[in-house]
Amino acid sequence: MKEKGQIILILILVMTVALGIGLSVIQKSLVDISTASKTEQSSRAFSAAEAGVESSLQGNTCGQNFQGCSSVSDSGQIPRIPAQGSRQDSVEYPPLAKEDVVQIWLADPNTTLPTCASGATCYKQSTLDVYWGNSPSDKAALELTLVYYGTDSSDPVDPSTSKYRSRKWYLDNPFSSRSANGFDTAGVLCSGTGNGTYVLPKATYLCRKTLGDSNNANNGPLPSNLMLMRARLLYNTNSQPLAVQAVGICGADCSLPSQARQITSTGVSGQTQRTVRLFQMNKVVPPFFDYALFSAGEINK
Amino acid sequence: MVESLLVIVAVSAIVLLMVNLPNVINLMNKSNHLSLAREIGLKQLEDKRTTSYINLVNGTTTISDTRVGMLPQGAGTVIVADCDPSICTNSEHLKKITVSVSWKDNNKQQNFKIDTFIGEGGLNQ
Repeated sequence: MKEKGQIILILILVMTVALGIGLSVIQKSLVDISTASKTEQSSRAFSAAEAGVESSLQGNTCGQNFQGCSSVSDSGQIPRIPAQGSRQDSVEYPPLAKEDVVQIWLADPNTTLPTCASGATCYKQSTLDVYWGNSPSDKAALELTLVYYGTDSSDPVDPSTSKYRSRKWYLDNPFSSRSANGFDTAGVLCSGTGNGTYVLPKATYLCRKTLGDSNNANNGPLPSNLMLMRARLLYNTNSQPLAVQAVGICGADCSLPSQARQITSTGVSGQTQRTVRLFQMNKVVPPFFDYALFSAGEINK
Repeated sequence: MVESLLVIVAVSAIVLLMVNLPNVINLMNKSNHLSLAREIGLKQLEDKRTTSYINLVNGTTTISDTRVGMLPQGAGTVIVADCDPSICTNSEHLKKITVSVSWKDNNKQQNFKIDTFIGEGGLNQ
C-alpha cells in the first residue's frame, strides 16, 4: 500500500513537469507568432511612412494606401516670414551630437550674394537669439562662425577691403566650471537647475545668448551683409537641441530666410504605427568643410 | 482515490498537449518562416533604396538571396513600376517597389508582401 502511494506521487511529479514543459512550449510558440506578426506590421507601417516621405518630397502629400496607409504633413519651407508687427518663429534643429554642425542661412541662398536682391529675404538686424542645450548635468558649449561680407576694423592686415570674412563666438554655460577653456560666458543666460527655462514650440532650452548684444565686447553688434552662420555643440555627451530666432518685428528684414523643410509621415498597419520625420536643410556645406580648409592666404587653383 | 483522480487529470492534460504538439510546432515554423521572409523582403527594399532612381527599371526580377532556399518551396520577386496615376496625380517621379516572398507551410501557400515608393532625389538618392 505504501509503495503504491509512492509510485503515484512520482507519477504526479513527472506529469507535472511534463505539463510545465508542454505549456511553456505552447506559450513560446504563441509569443513567437505574435512577435512575428507585430514585426511584420511594423515593417509595413515603416515602409508606408517612408513612401509618404518620398511622395511628399515630390510635392504630393495625399495619403498613400498599400496594405497600410500613411498620413503626411509637410511644414513647407520654414521659418515663414511673419507679417509686420510679429516676431518670426524660431528655427529648431533636431538634437545635435557633440561636434555636429548646423548651418543657418542669414541671406537667401538663391540670391546673388553679397547683394541682397529685391524681394529676397536677408537678415538685417544687429542681434540674433541662439538657444541650445537641455541638460544641466551634460552642459554643452557652443561654437559659432558667422560669415559676412564687409570690412573688419580688427583685421591687422587688411581692415578696409570689403570681402567675405568670418567672426567667431565660443560660448559656454556659466555653470559649467570650465573657465580654463577661455570661452565667453558674458551674456550667456543659462538655468543652473532643471532642464531649461527657454520654452520654444518643440523643445525647452537650457541656455540663451543674444549675439551682438552689449555683453559681446569682443564682437560688437552683428555686421551688415550677413551671409550664414555655422553652429557646433561642444563637450556634450548626449545629443542636445539648438535653435535660432530672429529679433525684431519688421517683417522680411527682421526674418531669417527659409532654412529647412520638415516632413512627418505616419504609416499605420494593423495596430502598429510608425512615424518617419525628415528634416531637410537647404544647400548645406558638408561638416568636413570646417576642417578641410586651412589657408593663411588666398587659395589658387 | 484523490491520487488516482490527479493522475487522470494529468494524463488527460498531457494527452491534450501531445495532440496539439504538431500544431505548436507548425506555429513555431510558421513564425520562423515569416520572420525570415520579412528579413529577405526588407533587405530587397533597402537594396532598391540604395539604387539610384535612374537605374530603377520597370519590370519584375526574381530575388536571388540565398536565404530564400531556407524557406520550403521559397520564391520571391521584386516588382518595379511607375507610380499609379490615381496616387501620383501630377506625374511625380516615383517608382512603386513591391517585394513579394512566398513559401509553403503544410502545403498552404504563404506570402509576405511589402510596398513602398522611391522618388527621384528622395531618401538615400
